Amino acid sequence: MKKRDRRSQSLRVSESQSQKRNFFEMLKRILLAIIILVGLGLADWIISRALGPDSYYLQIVIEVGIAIILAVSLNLINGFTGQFSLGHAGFAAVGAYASAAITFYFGAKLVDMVAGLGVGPAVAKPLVFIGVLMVAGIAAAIAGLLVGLPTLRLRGDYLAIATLGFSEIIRLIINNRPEIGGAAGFTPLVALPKFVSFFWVYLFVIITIVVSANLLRSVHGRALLSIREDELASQVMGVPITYYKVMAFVLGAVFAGFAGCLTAHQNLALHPNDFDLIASVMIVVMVVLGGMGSITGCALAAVLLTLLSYALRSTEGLIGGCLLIGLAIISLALAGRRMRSYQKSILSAALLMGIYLLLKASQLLLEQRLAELRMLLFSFLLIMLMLTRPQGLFGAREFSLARLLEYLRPLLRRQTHGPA
Amino acid sequence: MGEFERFGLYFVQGLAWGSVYALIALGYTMVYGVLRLINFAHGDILMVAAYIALFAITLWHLPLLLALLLAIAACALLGALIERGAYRPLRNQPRLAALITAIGVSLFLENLAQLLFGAAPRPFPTEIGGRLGALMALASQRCRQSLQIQIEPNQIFIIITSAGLLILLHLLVSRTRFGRAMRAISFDREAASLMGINTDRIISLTFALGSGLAAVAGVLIALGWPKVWPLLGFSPGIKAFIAAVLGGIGSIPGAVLGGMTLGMAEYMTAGYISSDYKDAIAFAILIIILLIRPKGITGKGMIEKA
Repeated sequence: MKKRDRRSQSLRVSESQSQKRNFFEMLKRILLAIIILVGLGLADWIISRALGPDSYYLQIVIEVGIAIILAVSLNLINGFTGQFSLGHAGFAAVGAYASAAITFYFGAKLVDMVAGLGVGPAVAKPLVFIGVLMVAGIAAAIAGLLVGLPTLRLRGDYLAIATLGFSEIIRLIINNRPEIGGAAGFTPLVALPKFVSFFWVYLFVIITIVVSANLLRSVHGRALLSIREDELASQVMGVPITYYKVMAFVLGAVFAGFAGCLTAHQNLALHPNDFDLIASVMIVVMVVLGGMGSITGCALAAVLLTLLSYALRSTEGLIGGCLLIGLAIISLALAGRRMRSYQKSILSAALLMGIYLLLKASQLLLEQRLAELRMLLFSFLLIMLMLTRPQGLFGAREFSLARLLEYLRPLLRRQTHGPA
Repeated sequence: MGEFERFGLYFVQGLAWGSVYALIALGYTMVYGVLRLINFAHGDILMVAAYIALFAITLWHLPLLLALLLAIAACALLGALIERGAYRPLRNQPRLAALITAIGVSLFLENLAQLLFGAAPRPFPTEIGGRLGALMALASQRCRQSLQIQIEPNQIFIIITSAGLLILLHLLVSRTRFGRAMRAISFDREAASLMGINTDRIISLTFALGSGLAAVAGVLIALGWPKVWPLLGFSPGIKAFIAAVLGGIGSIPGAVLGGMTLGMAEYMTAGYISSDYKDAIAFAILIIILLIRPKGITGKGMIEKA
């Protein structure tokens, strides 16, 4: 009797303690959120002062952010759940066009209406923008539900093709609706003043990353991972597969919708071809390159690929790209002693191709045909990257400083002791 | 134009495109059979073939059949080369890595063509010269007189060539040692290699064969719809893949059936409903088929693991 009493007492004590801890935990999180918001605002101010409000570099920074949102949200579907979706740009298109239509037709009216409620126009505009963003998210979520529900029976390549089909249908529908611009594109979206800034984009970058990181560590995230690892086994263990697959689709679609809305209000113009198969493929490439299931990997790959595509737009970048290919070929050649015959034949073919490309590149540089060379180099680098590191930059792991140091240690030691 | 003639027009168009889709879909389906890989670069082989035939005819003044043979040879070589360089190193890696590489190869070929030949479409000489051309013209005339069906000489050439190749391929796959080895590999690659089949060689040959068929399809497309440009293969490539899935990917009769169904569906939609939604219909059919019969029309009811 006594024993049990004491135990129940101690339980009660720990309960109240844990409540107190929960309260502090919540306070800490609210504080963290405020710090992040203030930090973002500050960063926004500094960056727009440093780069100028309409500069080319600011545009790159914003596009990098949108790419991160798209890659990390696709990672929820492809990386965590293992459902190979080739239609992510379709969800982004739904978000972009839904929000753009609202801005185009009702933007000014909505701002007036909200301002009429007693808040000034300075507050009304961001409020309307948040509303537009939410509409984009909801529209994309509905699209995700519509795509996810029927296709979850399919696996692997079949799912990939079905999602591709859905996103192409979305694009073709947009193409044939003159109310939202049709094939000519939707422009200009001037009813809302230009809103998308560093602050908004990176706020959503942080939200996307935090949501997926927290999801991964929750029961739901574990369920998603179990579906990726072995669908049959996790079904046997009682994981509601249908529910989780649809959830992953809808969540991924919501963030893609946000990204689409941000793109629309950044460029103030939309074109159906911005959301074609190549766009979807680029997002998949980011996820695969970063390492399926690695949030940091996907984010980093999104940054790298977006920067790469911009870097290849300038002469210096193109020369750098050519040098990079040359370097890759040389390093392959150095490792060539342990190669088998077919690898040598690939190598010689690659070498010839590289030399030819360098010659062609120099000729083209003279002729100023940079744009055409850019995509060629891009695809070549993509093939090279996949051949040299097929599991992606990070594999399924997250970036960690400790592991980087661990990896570097033997190199450092060798330097201090001289060559072994 | 009478109702029957109108139907005949769409039917012939659908048949011509359907047979081209079937030729391309065969390449997809054979490669998928042996490697379980969607070869995204397959569509771009069409474009390469069309350019080769274009240059062979306009620059070197070769007759059409010789140009066709040249395109087949070059594309078969290209297909085998792509398999060696881009896919074989990744054979033991996750399938997604090979898929991304395939997309990379496709982008590479498209952009290389754009760089070398420019983005502007070039006209393809459509008249089939010599005795062959006269024969086709005669056949076209006969069709018009006796069947009341309007059919272009080139469409006859397209349909006859594809039909001939499909029969040849069927014989190759069902009657020869190579065909048996290929079927064995697609059934179980490891067991096949234990039985003494040189799997690497057969896979290379499969790529060469598929690319050769794609080359024919590329030249036929250029003949029927005479515009050669770097993205020529993109849309037929995707549609032919849909055709392959429609018939049941990995199945050779399925690819032919799927190609014909898709071609017919597209041109009947374009004729009777709206040409704006001609492309959408392909994808809609794809999704419906995947939902009702995920393994395709001829697919077996096997369960895919992992």
